[in-house]
Amino acid sequence: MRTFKQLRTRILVATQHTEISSQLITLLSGQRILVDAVKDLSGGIRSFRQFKHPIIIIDEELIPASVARLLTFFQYLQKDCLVVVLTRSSKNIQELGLFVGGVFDVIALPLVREEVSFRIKRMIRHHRLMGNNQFLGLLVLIGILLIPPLLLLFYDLFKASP
Amino acid sequence: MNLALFILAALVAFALIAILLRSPLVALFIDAPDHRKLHQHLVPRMGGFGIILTFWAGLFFTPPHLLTTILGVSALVFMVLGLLDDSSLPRYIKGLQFLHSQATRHSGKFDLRVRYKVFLEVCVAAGTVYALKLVPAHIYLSGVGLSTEYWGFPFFTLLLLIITNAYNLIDGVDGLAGSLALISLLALAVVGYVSGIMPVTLGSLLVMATVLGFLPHNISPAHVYLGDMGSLFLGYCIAVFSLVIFKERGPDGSVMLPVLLAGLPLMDVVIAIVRRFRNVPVGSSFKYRLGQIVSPDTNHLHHRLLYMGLSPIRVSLVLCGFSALILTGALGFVILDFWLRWALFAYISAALLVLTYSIYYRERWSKHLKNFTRFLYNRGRPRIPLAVITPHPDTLEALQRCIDHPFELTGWTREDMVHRKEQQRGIIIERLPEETEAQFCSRITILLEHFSHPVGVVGVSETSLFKHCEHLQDYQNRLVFAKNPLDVWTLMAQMLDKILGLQTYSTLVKKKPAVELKGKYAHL
Repeated sequence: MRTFKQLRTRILVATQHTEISSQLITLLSGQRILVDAVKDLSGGIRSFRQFKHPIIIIDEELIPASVARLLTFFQYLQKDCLVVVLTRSSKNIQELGLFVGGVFDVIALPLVREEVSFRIKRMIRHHRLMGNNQFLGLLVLIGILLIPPLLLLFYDLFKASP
Repeated sequence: MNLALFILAALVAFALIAILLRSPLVALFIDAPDHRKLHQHLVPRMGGFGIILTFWAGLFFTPPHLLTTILGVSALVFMVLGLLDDSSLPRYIKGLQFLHSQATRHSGKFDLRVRYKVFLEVCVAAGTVYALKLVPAHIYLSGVGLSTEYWGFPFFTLLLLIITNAYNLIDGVDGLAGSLALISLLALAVVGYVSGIMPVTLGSLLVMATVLGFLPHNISPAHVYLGDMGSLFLGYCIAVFSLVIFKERGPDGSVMLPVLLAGLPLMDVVIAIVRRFRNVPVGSSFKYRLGQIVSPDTNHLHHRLLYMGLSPIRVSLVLCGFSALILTGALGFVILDFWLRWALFAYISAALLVLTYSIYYRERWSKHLKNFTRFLYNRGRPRIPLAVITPHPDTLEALQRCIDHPFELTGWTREDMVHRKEQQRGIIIERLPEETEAQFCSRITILLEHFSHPVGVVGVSETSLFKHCEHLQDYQNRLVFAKNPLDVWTLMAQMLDKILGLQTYSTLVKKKPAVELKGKYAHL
């Protein structure tokens, strides 16, 4: 029972098409991932402001002309968010444009269950890995910063004792 | 308090909370997830209930003292406050509905109105300051006494209120408020012992034991929350103990001592006030800014750490490290000499600034670091002018951000290819999405005929290009290829090799370098 109370990863899905979002919800909920599905970008931004989802899946139809600007907005609110775009066309150059803009991954439509599952899992693992990195970095920084005051306190205590 | 009693109190708290969690009372204290909460399942808020009951039981085994009596009476008020705020009990009692606002009643949450909550807290704080005579006659700053005759009472009441509520505000992650309270209480017990104030040491140890019993239930994934009842009570105990130590130490106690003993939650409150005051639309009025200070948000330190991908346990660990750093300052104020303690205080303030900045403005931090590295790297280094013709402005921006090349990049349009006469030492050209390979070939041919320097081609492979335009093979020694725009950095390294191979140093740079070139470009 204890494992059911673990905090689940929260993902934002922004697409106008109900069938795609319901497909993603079914797939990801089965893997114990919480999905917030929205139909437009403004709803997505409102939801993102609240929950700061680590992974955002956006339909290419909702992406504005400048991908970089949208990503800057998301990353201003949360630095570590990973943006995935659902694309219909497989034009390499367009995908590359998205990557240059800062998109983390591209998933082609129609959705292939195994592929989506693999990619989402990979991104969650990536986010956790980045979290580990941040955690260890902060621990080291705090540890280094703690050394001088502790040395000072212990030196003073030992100096005072006969 | 001996060790056996301490362990017994912890065990009693643990068992009592476990029993409460299995009792029907749970239904009254349920906290449902909503858009402002991070938890995703129903969790009862009755940890404070168990803590206060154990604390009362523990009072029978400690020597009677005014301090513990006041704490016991205040605990009763906090229990009433918790029952009205955390539980859904008032909805079943006729005549108590006025305690809840219309909005919370409609949403089914039945939170206590803020005005009643603040009223009860002010009553408790003012009563405590008055009964324990927590206002010293003078506050000493650098050896100079400052009379507290007129402002002492409201000031210390406010300080007590702020510290009490600070623990309520930081209670946002499983196990966080409990762990922070545990560390602060340990420091208070040590400071009380060193200062010879035994009631504070005993009281701290008793509260610590109850928190130790509560924490196993609260560690992530939490089975129970402190609730307002518990977090306010813990904050209140820590505030009272700090103020008692401050008062009892007399001229030897600094006003910074209670502030430092309160630990991280107080710092978080200060940061939240500054953040909310600043994060308003440009041109907002002062009144609006003040209103924003009390509006809740999800940008506290623990929220930021959670968004960075840390688990709740790790968030608690990091923030306990923060708190430990602050509490070493408090210990310094008790143990060290005058100058050393202020030096330590300055060091800890600077360290906290660095830590907070690195959490809140991590991207800005890394940007500063990157800019500094770029400055060091580029200092006195000659720049090689290079034109980039690309349909994606983002590509140029990304290339300009890259510090590992010695180029001065300029964005060119298609027309610039023919009309611009500036001295460029190389050109990178990217294929347009709608362009055919033949059209792209003709553009490259124009470039190669107009200019005599290397050309980097992005978006088409070498074999494909030579297949369409065989005449381009004559210019093979001036062409560099990258099929993928993501490989542009590799392409630029190749461009540098080509430029260095084709041209001499005198034509390569605009002016003579200010300093001697080292490393990779030393041969220039």
